[in-house]
Amino acid sequence: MKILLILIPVALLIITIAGCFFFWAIRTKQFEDLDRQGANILFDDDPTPASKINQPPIVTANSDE
Amino acid sequence: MIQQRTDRCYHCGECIEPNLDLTVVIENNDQAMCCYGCQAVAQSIVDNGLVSYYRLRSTKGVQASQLIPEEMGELLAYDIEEIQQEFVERCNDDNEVTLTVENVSCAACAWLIERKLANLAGLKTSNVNTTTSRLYIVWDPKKLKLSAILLEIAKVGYKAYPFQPDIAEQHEVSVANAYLRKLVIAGLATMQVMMFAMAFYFDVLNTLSAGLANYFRWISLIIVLPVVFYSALPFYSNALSALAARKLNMDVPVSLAILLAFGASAMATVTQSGEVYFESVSMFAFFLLLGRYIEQRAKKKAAQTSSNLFKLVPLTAQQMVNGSIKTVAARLLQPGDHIVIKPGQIIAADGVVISGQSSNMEALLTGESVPVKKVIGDSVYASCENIESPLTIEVSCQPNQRLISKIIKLQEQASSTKPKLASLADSLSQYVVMVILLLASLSYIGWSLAGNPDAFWISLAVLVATCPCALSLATPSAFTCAAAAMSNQGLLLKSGQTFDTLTNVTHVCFDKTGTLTSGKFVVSQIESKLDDETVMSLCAALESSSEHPIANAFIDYHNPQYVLTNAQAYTGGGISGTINGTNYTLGNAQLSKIVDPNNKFEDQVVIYLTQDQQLVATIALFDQIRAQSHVLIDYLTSKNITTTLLTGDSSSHGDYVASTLGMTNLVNGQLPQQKLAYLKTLQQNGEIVAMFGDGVNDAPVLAQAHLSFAMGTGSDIAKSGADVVILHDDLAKVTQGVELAFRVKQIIKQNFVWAIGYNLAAVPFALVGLLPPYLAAAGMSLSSVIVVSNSLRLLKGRQ
Repeated sequence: MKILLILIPVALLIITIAGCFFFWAIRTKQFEDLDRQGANILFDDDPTPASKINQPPIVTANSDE
Repeated sequence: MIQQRTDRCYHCGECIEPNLDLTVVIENNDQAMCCYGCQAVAQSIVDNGLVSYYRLRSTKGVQASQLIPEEMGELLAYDIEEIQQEFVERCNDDNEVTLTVENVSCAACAWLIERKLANLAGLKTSNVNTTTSRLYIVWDPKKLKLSAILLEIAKVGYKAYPFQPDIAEQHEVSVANAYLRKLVIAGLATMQVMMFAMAFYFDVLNTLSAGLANYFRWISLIIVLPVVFYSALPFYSNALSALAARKLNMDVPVSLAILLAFGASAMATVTQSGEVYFESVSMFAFFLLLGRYIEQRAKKKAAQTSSNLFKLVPLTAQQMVNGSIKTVAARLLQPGDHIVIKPGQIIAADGVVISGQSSNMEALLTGESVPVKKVIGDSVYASCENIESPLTIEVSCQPNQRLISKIIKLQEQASSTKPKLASLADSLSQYVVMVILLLASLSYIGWSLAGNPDAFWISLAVLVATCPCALSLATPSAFTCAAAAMSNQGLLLKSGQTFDTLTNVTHVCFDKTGTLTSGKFVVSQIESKLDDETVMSLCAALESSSEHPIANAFIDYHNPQYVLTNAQAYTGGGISGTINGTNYTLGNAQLSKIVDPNNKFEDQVVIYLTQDQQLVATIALFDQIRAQSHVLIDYLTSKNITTTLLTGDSSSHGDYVASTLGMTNLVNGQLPQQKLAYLKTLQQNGEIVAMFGDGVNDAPVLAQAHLSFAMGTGSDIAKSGADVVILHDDLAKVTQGVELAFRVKQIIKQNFVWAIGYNLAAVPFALVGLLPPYLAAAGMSLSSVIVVSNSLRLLKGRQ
């Protein structure tokens, strides 16, 4: 059981880091808008969207349409 | 697969007029649109490759309206340096601002706006928050103008504008964040400590070596330190401030329990004797913090929503400088400056008319529904609307000396003297806390005298078991849920106290213009040999060139057959012109040269239509009473609540409104100070008074009343002083609000019965020492969950 002498302080260190991450997340306002970010991944963030307009839709297996 | 034309707009879901054929090609299908606004917005969305919006949105868009030139002009005013100083932050070379965006409802809206803005050169950051409906932007002022950004947002159908943050908002947000940090720490610590506590709970065979047990205790002690000395701080400070005021609140026994249990456990760890209850300490703190955080989040949301209502309209003035006109910020105007006010504009400063004549709508300041005539030498007031023709005024005082500033001062004074009713929960918890502290100390004394070595732990268990955690959640959880239910109905609540007060109201005062009435004129009666349709069309043609509020009454009757020429307006009199070759005059008795005015319509505004000096029609108009006003007054009367019409208007229209609605009292012709004095007299007579209003002149009374309701379309000052804002001006919703308040009271009573019942049942076990503190803490948490679930029932509609 001597391993506990090392593992528990390591666990403590990890939760301290976790706590710091939480504080950082709160400070950078990541808890301000919980409704939106979940849906964000669904939008295609194509940087040059205008090029797509006049093209016919390309139907492929991994199309997101 | 071409989609069938449906009769609803693809963009906003509105019905489409049968003969309208507007379409936009969206993803290879012709989609029908209801108006040019929606068509423009949808086309703009498609052209920018943002069609994902239509695929992923969860609600339909808002019916878009094209920006009218005045609105464009208003946007340009946001570029003026002095105006920007009020809301734009400078950061190095960049400008940053947070705007509120109307009708942002889902992630798709947010994405649409951000993508649209991303195309602008000079825009550095844009971030839409859908929870608060706000947009944060950073841009380079050298490359981009703020008005261009706002215009871009308008192109995709949203309206963004700067707002005046509620004073309370910053505070509520920082308190909510502080609770969240404390909650996270308590949560993480509870998980860890519980893990070590399990080692003790399941160590029935005593296999844990003394050294290891000691090690676990020390580790637990270290983990709990931040909970006791950081997370639990708000409890101590609340308890201390209550004690300083010689009062008891729920935080007193909470602080005692946390500090005593921690102190004793720490002592046990150091001396290596006795039991430790670190897990109870942190779990106790965690659950209490959870309740406080949820409550605080609701307060934060309310503060943010109400800030979003305070649209910061750029107050500009057209100043005459050396004969030319310059647009300046209104707050920089000095006495002696000359400013020009066009028809339809809001007057930017108090002053005296030096040229021109017009009439001003002063309803917001005085409650009078009829515009007041202004000629050279008359005083005009900031925030009133100029109606008929341009005026030049000389500014007469500093911004803080304006009439409106004086009313705001009166409001501030009134809000500091606003009487507060002690809430049911507050008064009850006083006694409960006293009993808890007594029981805990008695059990300690009793068991010590009996020689029990566990006397301290037993009294601690009493403290924890009886600690009315569920009781302290009983009211806030119910209020939070009810406030959410209210906002779904279009009533924005600013404090939880509202429900308590709402069930106790004995007297309700109403403002007239804009509150019980719509503030818009409608035709009530026509006396004429001609048919009504013709009369109305003639009036509509005559009034088509007028900005006067009376003109709006005829706007729906516009008939292209009647063509108006030679129109001439007479300030405070009426209008004349030639329609299809015949001279007509529409105006008051004086203008129309009526020698024997018709006295039949004494409560109303009467105008006469004359054709070549011959009377054609007598038209009576009045400020129409809202249909919902009847519903509300009837409801209040059925509840035996006294209703008073407290209006600034001294005309007989007040009598008409009060008698039509069947109100108990009428007090008319009141200045803001007199309204305030009347309300104070009622309060001194022991009445619990609620006030409904919308104007600037109502603001002081709203601040003084026990409970105040402001109309959503009312003045910002009225809204800021009110407890409840009626978002869609629907007074009938208030009846549902009152019903909800009674349900809230019922739910709170149920919560109390449960919470007190649980405490009473647990006390005997704790007293005889059968309830270890960790079980007491677990039971307390369960009890809290039940109370919260009960409160959640308020979120659902009636059964």
